[in-house]
Amino acid sequence: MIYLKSLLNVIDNSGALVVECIKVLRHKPKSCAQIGDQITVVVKEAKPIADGTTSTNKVKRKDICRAVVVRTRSPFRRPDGSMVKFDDNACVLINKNGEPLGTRISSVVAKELRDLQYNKIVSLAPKTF
Amino acid sequence: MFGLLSKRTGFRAASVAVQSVRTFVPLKGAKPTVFEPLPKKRNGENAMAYLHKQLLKKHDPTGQRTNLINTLRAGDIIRVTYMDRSDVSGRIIAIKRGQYNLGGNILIRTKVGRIASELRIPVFNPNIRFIELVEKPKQYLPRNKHYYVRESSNDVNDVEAYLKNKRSEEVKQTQTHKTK
Repeated sequence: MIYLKSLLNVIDNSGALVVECIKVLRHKPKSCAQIGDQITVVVKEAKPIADGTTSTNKVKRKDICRAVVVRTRSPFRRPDGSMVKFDDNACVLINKNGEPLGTRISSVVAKELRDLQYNKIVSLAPKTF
Repeated sequence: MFGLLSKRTGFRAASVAVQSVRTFVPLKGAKPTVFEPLPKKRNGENAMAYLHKQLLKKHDPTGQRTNLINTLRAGDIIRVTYMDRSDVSGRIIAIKRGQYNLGGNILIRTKVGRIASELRIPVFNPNIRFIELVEKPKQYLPRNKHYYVRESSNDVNDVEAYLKNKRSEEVKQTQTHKTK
């Protein structure tokens, strides 16, 4: 259940650490984003840029970008009746074509993303659950 | 005055007498036909209980899954293998046991990387090839449902990695035995 003002962890290496949801895309009003849904986010916390080094950060604080939800705390149902639940809300930043901004994904993502044509994210992730 | 009272009491006595005796009212016209009561369906068994029994017979003919769900306990480590050979393992947090029905499910918890994930598995899912008990703990934690282990000091570790380590150690031990 991701909606306005929800804070999410970012699990790619785009430079953002924590983002805040400001819009759930392609949903009726008052509905929430689930795994695989696209949202618009504001970067609340980004990796600090060390002096003298060229940073690999693609985004910085206060940037607005798109993201896809990859893990949720609220349980969601699979078609076979099993329920999956993670211990945090997480997302991956994407561009408007649905390709991830970062080049690495650090932790597990939900299996459902494969069916939703986020193959790049699934293949970058170390594991799916 | 006295006469009125006696009348009243007399009336009361009469009314009691009327209540205790059934009056017979002769029917006008033809008498209705009375049939024998129909035999009870399913020998009088409850429809839902009968249905669930049939479903259990269909989805669990050997009674193996029923036996499993009754013997497993929160704290055990299990591995669930699906029909497509993929598998998940984890520690049982809670078991929901249905009463002679297909509603039973097992909640397992594991850490994938550093992220804890939970999966509630319906036991009688036909897509499950088998469910195996991998390890029993030396000492069980209290309570039937271990919801309290979430994000506590008793929390589940990476079960898959733990099992892998355990297996490799076992292999090592057997090899050293052989060399001896």
